[in-house]
Order: sequence, then structure tokens, then C-alpha cells
Amino acid sequence: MDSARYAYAVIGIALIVGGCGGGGTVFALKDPTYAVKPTSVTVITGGSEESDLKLAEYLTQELRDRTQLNVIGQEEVSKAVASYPIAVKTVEENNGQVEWIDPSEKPRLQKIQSKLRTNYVFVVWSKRLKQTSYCSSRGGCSNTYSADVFGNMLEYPSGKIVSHTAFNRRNSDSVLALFRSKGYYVDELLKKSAEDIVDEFIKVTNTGRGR
Amino acid sequence: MHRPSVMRLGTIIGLILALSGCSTFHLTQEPFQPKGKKLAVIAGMTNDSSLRIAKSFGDELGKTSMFQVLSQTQVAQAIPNYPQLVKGPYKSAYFEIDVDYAKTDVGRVKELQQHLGVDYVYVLWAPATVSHGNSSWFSKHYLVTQIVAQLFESPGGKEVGRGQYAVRVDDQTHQVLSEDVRRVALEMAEKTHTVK
Repeated sequence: MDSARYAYAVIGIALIVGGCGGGGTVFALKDPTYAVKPTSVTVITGGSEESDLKLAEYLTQELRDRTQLNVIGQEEVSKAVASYPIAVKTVEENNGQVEWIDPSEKPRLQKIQSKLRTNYVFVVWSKRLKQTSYCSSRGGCSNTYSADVFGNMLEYPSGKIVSHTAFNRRNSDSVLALFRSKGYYVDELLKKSAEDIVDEFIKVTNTGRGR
Repeated sequence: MHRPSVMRLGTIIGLILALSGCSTFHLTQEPFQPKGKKLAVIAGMTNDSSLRIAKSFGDELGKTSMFQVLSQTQVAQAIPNYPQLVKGPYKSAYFEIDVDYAKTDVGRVKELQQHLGVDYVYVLWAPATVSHGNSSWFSKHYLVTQIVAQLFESPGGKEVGRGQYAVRVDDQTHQVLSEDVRRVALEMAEKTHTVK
């Protein structure tokens, strides 16, 4: 089975288990006993398409606003790593493992980390962004947008993967679509994905900002 | 006609318009007289689509116009760490580009221009490649890449032209259809009075 089919199968099962809003693992530690230190993190996009960049931006913003970690901004990443964004190769079929980062990419990530000097590097991908249109027999059409979100957080200096993320998110437009900008519903989908990751991140790592 | 068919027909008509009917380049400074012949085509994004189209467009422009176009190898040698991300002229670009030319990071374009020593820099962004329908016995399936581009004068970074268009990409080989790119290159050559 090729990796794309495997990923579809995983996501399909996750959808059935998780209900219509999408499903999967939003954020989980590879080793549940591992304690994330409230130090510093850089979000790196693993893809170079527009949806990857936006997802990284939104996740950076959410982590910065809601956690105790010191979060490096995407502009700083761009300045420090001249060729950023880089496409980080993935392994989506990995015998039930949850390390999406291709092992061959670790030296490159290590190099990026050495420039940014954060304790964690969170790599995220938005894959298979899709638009499905449906027109009812009574008139009126609607669009549903969906994306698969993948992520791995690495700890430094060890370079070990400590967390995994893999879920599908969907968003449908409404009659208000006529008054919305072109990318509004995909933007919403990506923002919501970032929010969900950070909700779970805070729960799991206990690094939320006190109210 | 069944409604999904109507919708598909609408999409196809939109694609035909994007691929053939509409202008792909227009001048923002008129009248235009080229100040020099040296030109570089730069990808404003680091993704494969942008790089592939930058190469293809540069090749076609070199053939159809009097511009002396730098090869992508020369561009990569001149600009450290090329390709680099340059904030592009759009608000969003998922399935279609929501263009806003005021959003371009012109400062970054000027920085890149300094390395090139050319008279003009054509920066293109190809942020979205979408798939419409499937292949059949009678038709081949192509992916469609949406592109937005701006032509800047050097030095100074004054914008002198811009355009938005789409080109077809072979589903299997991922090669850009040269006839689509040639049409865009020819239109730019005509409008800048540089046709060979």
C-alpha cells in the first residue's frame, strides 16, 4: 500500500471514529510520561504551499498568545533561515509509528534549530487541501473544504520526536460566502486547526498561561 | 441539466477563460520604452511549481522577446540561498488567488535586484495548483497552476507591469505545458515592444 493510500485509510478510520467534524490525534506525546518544559519553541512549516505557511503562522500565534513558552515568530524564522520555507519530507506509512519526519531530514532540522536556539521545533504540514462542491436539487450550492494536518515536535539538543499530530479538519461555507473573501473558509479551517492543537497542547503539557 | 454538471461546466468555462481569453500581462507605467535588455525571472516562493514555472517562463521569454533572460542557474548563483520567500501580491491563495498588489514586499524585491545586475526583474508566485475532474478516453487530465506576477524596473524597484494567469501542468510528468507559458511570454513581449 503506498503512503498516500495508507494516510487516507488512517484518516478515514479517524473520521468514522471521530464524527463528521474530522478526527485523529490533535496533539499527543509520544511518551505520555514525558514532561514538556515551558521554555522555547519554533514552529516550522514542513511544506511550502500557501496553506502550510498559514498553518505555521496561526500555530505560532496561538502558542504565543496562550502558552508560557517563548515562541519565535515566522518572520524571525524566515530571516534566520534564508531558504525558509523548506519542504520537509514525510513518512506517512510507518508501521503504526507516529514519526512523520523522514529521518533523512533530521540534520537539516538540526541546522535550523542551531540558528534559532529554541528547545523545541514543532514541524507542521497541511496536506491534501481539497474543495468539494455540492448542489442540491432544490437549488443552491455549497462547498466543503478539508485538509489533513500533520505535526511532530522535536526536543533539542537530543533531536528526539516527542509529540505527534495527525487529523483531518473540514469546514463548509454558508450563504454568507457571497460576502466573504476568497480564502475565508480555508483560513477559518486552518485557524481552527491551530486553535485545536494548542487546546490539546495546553491540556497535555500543562503550559497554559494562568488566567 | 443536472446541477453538478452545471457546476462542472461553470468550472470548465472559468478555466478556459483563465487559460485563453484573458490578458496575462498589462503595463502599469505607460507609455513604456524598455531601458535595457537584461531581465531575470525570479520565483517568489520556494515551492516546486514556482521554480518550474520561473524556469519555463524564462526560457520562453528568451525565445520570443529581445530580452536577454538570465537562466535559473545564473539567478541561483547571483542570489544567495535562492529561492527565497518574497511576500506576494495576494491576501490568500488556496484554490484561487485573491490578488492585492499592495501586499508585495517590494523592499525584499529591491534587495534581490541588487544581486542580479539586470534592467528588469519579473517576479512570479505560483501558490496554488488545483485539480479539476479526471482523465477520460477523450480528454487528458491536467492540473492547473494559478500564477500572479509583477515586473519591476532595476534599480529602484518601480513596478512597470503585472499579470495574473493560469497554466496547465501534466498530471503525470508535472511538466508545465510550454504552449501556455509561450502565450504569456509572447503577450509580455508584445506589450513591452520587445518581440523578436
